[in-house]
Order: sequence, then C-alpha cells, then structure tokens
Amino acid sequence: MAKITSSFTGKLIFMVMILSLVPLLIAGTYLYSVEIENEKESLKKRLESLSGVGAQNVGLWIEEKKITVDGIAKNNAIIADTKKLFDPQISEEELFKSRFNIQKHFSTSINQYDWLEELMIIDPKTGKVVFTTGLSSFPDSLEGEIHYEEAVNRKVGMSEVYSSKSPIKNELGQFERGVPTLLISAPIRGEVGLEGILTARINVFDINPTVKNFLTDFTSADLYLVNSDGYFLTSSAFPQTLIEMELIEKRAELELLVIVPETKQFTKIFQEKNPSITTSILQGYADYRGIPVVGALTMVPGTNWSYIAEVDEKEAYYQIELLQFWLITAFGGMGILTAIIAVIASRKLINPIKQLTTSVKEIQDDSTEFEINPTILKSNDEVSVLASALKNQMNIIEKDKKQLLEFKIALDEAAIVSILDMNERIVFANERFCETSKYSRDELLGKNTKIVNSGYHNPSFFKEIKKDLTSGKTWRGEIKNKAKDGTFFWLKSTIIPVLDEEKKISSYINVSTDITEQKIREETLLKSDQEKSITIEKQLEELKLVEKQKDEFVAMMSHELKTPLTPIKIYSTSLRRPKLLGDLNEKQMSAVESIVFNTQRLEKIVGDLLDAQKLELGKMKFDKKETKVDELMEMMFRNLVSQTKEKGGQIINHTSEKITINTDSSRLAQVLTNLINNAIDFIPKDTGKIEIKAEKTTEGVLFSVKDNGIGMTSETQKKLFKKFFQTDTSVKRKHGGTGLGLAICRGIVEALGGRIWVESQEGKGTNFYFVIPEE
Amino acid sequence: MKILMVDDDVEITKAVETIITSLGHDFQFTNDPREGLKLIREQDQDMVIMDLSMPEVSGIDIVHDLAKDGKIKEKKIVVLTASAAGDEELKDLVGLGIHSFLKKPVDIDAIINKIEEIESS
Repeated sequence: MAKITSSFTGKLIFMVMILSLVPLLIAGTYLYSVEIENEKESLKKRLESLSGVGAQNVGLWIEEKKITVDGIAKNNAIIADTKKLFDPQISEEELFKSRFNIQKHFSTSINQYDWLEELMIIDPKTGKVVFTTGLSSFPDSLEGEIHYEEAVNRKVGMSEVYSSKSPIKNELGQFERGVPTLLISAPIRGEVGLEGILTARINVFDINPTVKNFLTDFTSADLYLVNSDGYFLTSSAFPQTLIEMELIEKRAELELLVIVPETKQFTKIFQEKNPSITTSILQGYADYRGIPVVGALTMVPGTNWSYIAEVDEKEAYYQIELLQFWLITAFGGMGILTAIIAVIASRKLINPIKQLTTSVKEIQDDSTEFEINPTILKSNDEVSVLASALKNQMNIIEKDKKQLLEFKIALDEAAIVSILDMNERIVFANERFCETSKYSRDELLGKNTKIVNSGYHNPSFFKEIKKDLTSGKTWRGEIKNKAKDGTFFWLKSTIIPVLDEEKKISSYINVSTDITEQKIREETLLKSDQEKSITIEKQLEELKLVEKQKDEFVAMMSHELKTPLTPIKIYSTSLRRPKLLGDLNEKQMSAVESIVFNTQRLEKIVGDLLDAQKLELGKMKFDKKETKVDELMEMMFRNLVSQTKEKGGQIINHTSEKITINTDSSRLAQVLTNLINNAIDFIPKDTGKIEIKAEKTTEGVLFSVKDNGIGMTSETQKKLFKKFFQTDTSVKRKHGGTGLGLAICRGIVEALGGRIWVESQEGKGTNFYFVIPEE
Repeated sequence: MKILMVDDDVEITKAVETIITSLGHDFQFTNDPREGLKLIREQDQDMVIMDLSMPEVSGIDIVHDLAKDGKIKEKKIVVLTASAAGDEELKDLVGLGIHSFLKKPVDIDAIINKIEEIESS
C-alpha cells in the first residue's frame, strides 16, 4: 500500500513540476536563443568592421603612394630635365647637367619618404630604363607591364607585388635577391606630350604597420593581406610557428599561401571571397596554420588583394560560452527550486490519503479489526466518502473469507494440497502433505519442491510439466516422490497455475491424492514382464553371434579354398599345354582335362558361396551406370548360342526396342547367365528352345527367360529361390550346381531394387521373370 | 627374363617355379613378404608376381610403399589375388601403378600370356 501512495505522490509532484517547469523552459529557451543570436551578430560586426576598415586603410596607403609618385612626375624641373634626356641635339655637357639635376631631385624625394626605394625614368617609346637611382636593371622593355601601360595612357599605374630579380634591400636593410617589391609608374607630361615615365619602386614591407596596427580587443587577432593567387603580401603574426611547420623559409610575403596545411586547399574564407561585399564566416574553419578560427575578408579597393581579419574560434566564442554557462546555471537552479517546492506542496495535499491507506494496509496485515481514523470520517470531503465505502466493503469481504475457510477445511481433509511460488518454492503445505511426505511444515516451507524429488523421473518429465504450466495449462499426471525417511510415495496430481491481474503466473496450486499402493501393485507386474523380455533379448543376441560366426567361417573358407586350388589349376593347365612339361598320351590327356574341368566346377562353387555370402551380409558392391539393355541382351545371346547348339537346342532373342537404364550391368549379366545356363541344363536334347526378352513396363524393365524344359510343380516353385535348394537328388546328380544360383539371382535382383519370380507347369517348360527399375 | 614371385603359400610358388623355369626364365621367389619388398627394392626384375593377402606385411602395403618413390611402374607388378575384395580395390592398385592383376585360382595360360605381354612391351 505504501507503494501506491508514493506513486500517487510522485504523479502529483510530476504534474506540479511540469506545470511550473514548462513555462520556465520556454522562457529560458527563448532568452537563450535571443542572447546567443545577439552575441553572434556582435561578433560578426566586429570581424567585418576589422576587415572593412583594414581594407580601406590599405586602399588609402596605395593612394598615398600613387599621389606622391605622381607629384614627383609633375614637378616642372623633372619635366624639363627629362625632356633634355631624350633630346638628340643636346650637348654632352647639358645632358650631364640634366642627369645631375634629376639625381639630386630624386635623392631628396627618396630621403623624404621611407617607403620609396628607387626612382627610374623610362623611355615611353621603347619601355627601356634610361635613368635610375638604384641598381635595378630591366634588360627587357617594360612594354606590356600594366603599370607602365597605364602611365603611357596618362594614368598612374601599379604593378603586382613580385620578387625582385636583382639584389635590393630586404626588411632588415640588407641586400638580397628575391625580396618582394612593387612598382608604381606615373606619366611625365610636358607641354606637348609625354616626355617620359617615372617608375618608383616601393618598399612593400612598409604596408605592414598599416595592415596590422589596429586597436582591437581580440588578443588572437591575425590581420593580413593576400594577393589574388593567395600569396601573403604582409607578414604573419606567427612567423616562428610557420618556420617550425616548414611553411616559410624567410618570410611570409610571397612564400606563404593561404591554404590549410592538412588539405592543401585554400582556407574557407579565401574560397568564399566576394569582390563586392565583405565576406565573413562565423562557423570555425581551419586557417593557414590549421587552427580553427572565425574571420572576415574584404577586397582592397582598386586591387585584387584580400584583407583578412581572423580570430581564434576559442576566443571568439568565449563570451558566448560564458553566456551559455550562466543561462544554464540560472535555469537549472530555478528548476531545482521549483522541484523542491513541488515536493513540499504535494506532501501536504496527500497526507489525508496516506492516513487512509495506512488503515487499508492493516487489512493486509491480517488484523481482523478494520478501523478508520475518526478524523478522516469527520472531515466530510472526498476522502471521507471513500473511507466509509471502504468500511462497508470490508464487512462483505469478511463474510466471504469465512466461507472460504470452510472450503479449505474440506479440501484439507480430502486431498494433499501444496502451493508453490514462481520459483517452485513451497509456500503452503496442508496437514496431509506433511503426513505423506513425513516432513514437518517448517521443514517444507520456503524449500524448493525438489525436496521430495525421488529421482525416478527424467529431467525432461519435469520440463514438460513446466512447459504446460507456464503456458497457463493445468497439468494432470502421476509423480513418484520421496519422503523424509527415504520411502517413496506416488501422487496423482492436478497442478493449476494461478494468474495475477496482469495475467502473469504468480503461483501454482497442487492438489493430489496418494496412489502409492496401486503403483506398487503395477510395478510388481511390470518387473516380471521386463525380466522375460531381457531373457529373450539375450537369446537373440546369442543367435546373432552364432550367425555372424557362421558368416565369417564361410567367407574365410571360400578364400582358403582358392589358395590350394591355385597350384592344382597351374599344374593341370601346364600338363595340358603342349610341350611345356612334356607331351601326354591320349588317356593321360583325358584325365588331365577332367582335372581341369572339375577344378573349374569347384571354383564356381567357391565363387557362388562368396556371392551368396556377400548378398547375405549386404556387402556386395554395385557399380551402377548407364546400361544399354538391348545391347546386353544381344551379347547374352551371342555368348550362349554355341553352348545351346551343343545341346542341340536353339536360343532366340525377342528384344525389339532400345532400352537404357541405370544399373550394374555386370551383375545383371550374371543373373541372365545364371538363368540361361539353368535353362540349357533342363531343355530336352535336340528339340530344346530358349527365348529371352527385355521390354519396358510401368514397373521397369521386364526380363524373361523361357524354356520348354521339364518344368516344375508349384511346391517346387515356392522353395526355388531358397539357398541350397534343388529339385531333387536325381536332378542334382544330372545337372550339378550348388543350389545357390537362383538364391544369388534373387539377391542381386532385389538389391538392384527389383523382384524375380517363376511361372511353370510340370512337363511344359519354365518361365523366369524379373523386373529392374529404370533408376 | 628375370621374374620375382612373392607369395606366402609355398605350394603356389613351387608350382609357378616349376613351370616358369622350364620355360627358360630366371625365376626367383620368396614366401616372406618383408624379404619380397627388400628384393624388389634392391634388385632389378623384369616382372614381379605378388600375392595380396599375406601375414604381417600385405601386398597392398608393399604397393603403397613402392608407390611413394614413384619407381613402381618400372617394376611391372602383376598382383595375384584370392581376395574376396571388390574390383574397386584392385582398380585402386592399378591407379597406384601396378601393371595388372590376375585372380586365383589362375591357369598357367594366363600367367604365360602375361609374361609374353610384358616381354614384348
């Protein structure tokens, strides 16, 4: 009962919590998403403003350089002196003076601007350098270069950043080849036309402060410029890391590509750059070091350079993560608080119900008095109505209980009753169960029912019972049990599985009667029966042994007979062979012939004995293959035609159709030879006639061997196929043979799946038939 | 021709010896299968006539032993058997490299035919 109240309390708490937590959760989720969105928007703005302003500053830097160079080109003294440089009629002295003036003027400018490395004057007709303040040598014409062509078209042009071919000053002021540099060209315009092109070489390293000196509160901000091929134009914030990663040798400029080291692909931000607007990526991506960052990219106006501002993802999202933490903590705390309040509130509500259930629980505890706390009855609410209804119900139950008790007493008198729980432990045993099993109740209760197991039944017997019971069926049967004193008792039992409300088995009730005496009578009868059958079995086994010994004896004898036969045959056939052991006279020869003939007879008898033996033991081997029956019949005919003629008879083969079956052809031939030889023995001299035939029937192939011989009685026919049977001694004397031939025929035919029979009338000939199935 | 016969039955070897020596062949025999195996291994013969069922070491054992080093075919072994064993078993021995087989009781004509067959090959 305590269980029920607590689950009720639980449900109440659950409901209160749902009611209070759901709005809290919705509010929290809403606040959470709005705050996170705001925070993200702010991050985007900060990144985009970094790159946007940065790109603008670079644009201004370029503009400043262009204006300065253009200013020098517009200087009147420079214009005048440049004109003289190209005047072919000018004197050597005048030319020297002009070059001196230009040199002086240029030197002043170079000293004035840190970023100005070198100034050159180019012939606008050929594109070749005619004057320079430095060491730059352009062996080829500048024609085709964008900055030069722009200047020819009266505009100020700028080159791409490139690696110098001649040694120039690097970032440390030392001379080196391959230093990144940049050219700006401006037209030198006279009164009439173009006097020359002023080309200035710019120190690219000068751009670094413009790109990097930003006031930003991101500590991991990385600001850099890359050209359209993805090469760095400024230094990196992490030169040491890059050298360690072997991404650069000397500097980032023109060495480092904005690619992810692992994938060798351009970083995501560079891939997605858009010339017209600022691109930003807030989802972390790998930068050129492979570190996850977020960033923004803006193209520098008037160039194809990209200004990239990146911040480590960790730092960028630090604020957002902090916010997440505080929001979850705050809502979690509120949730727990709500839960505590819900528990306290539910307890208060449930207390009266709990008191009622305590009273109900007492019924279970078997206290006959059922009393309800009077305060509940007085309270006049739903609970009190429930309580009084319960009291009425209890009175009815009390009556039923008394009646049940009476039934129980009756059952106890009549039967042996026990109740088992799910695990087959005895939870109830009536007086008669205790008497029969000779155990006390205390010894039985809580024990497994195996305590009375006699060991008489197989485990499978109990498995069957269990199978029936667990499927809800009542089991009825007889069980042999063992009492405490070791004696056995038989019970005729009815076991009923008891189902609970969920239709699951909760216990088993076993109602039995004692049938021990009846069983003892039955067992005594059974025992004497069994003893009889054991004797018969023994006798059978002895018989089998004798039979086996007989078989072995015959097999051994057949084999042993062949061995002495061998020298007899060798000697006799040697004597018969001319000149081998000396020639014999006619009488001697006839004697030897007789020895040879009788050796062959003996050999056949031994062979027949072996065949009969093999058939008997089921050891004869059959080699089944496709057999052309019509050809076999023709062969039989040819083989035996001369033998029949010797006896003055004739043989006819009536086989007219082509027949093929799957069988052992040599064994089939053995049967046919045997039957035909038999027929030859019995046909009358000179008028004898043997007809053989094979034909298809529904049962298989039917073979027949007919003769017009002496025939036989129906008595004889019955015994014909038995071993060692011959018609009579006179026939035996006349025809020889072992009496095994037909038994062997039957054995072979039956082993090949067919049957053999005979039709005959005394004096009118004999017809042998046998059928061999086609498969 | 040099012919060896291995058979545990003294009467059979005696009979075959009488006939084959009178035909003018170089005939040698043993009734001990172990000795037989030794002679086959150590000496050269043009033909070996061998029984199958012999005590301790059977002809089948000898054939299996000789088949191991592949020289069995040169030996021209003709198995002479009274065994009730099936033809299958004899076919297995042919597969292992014996020349052919004759069944006991054998007549002298069959033996002489076999000798002539091997002599002419």
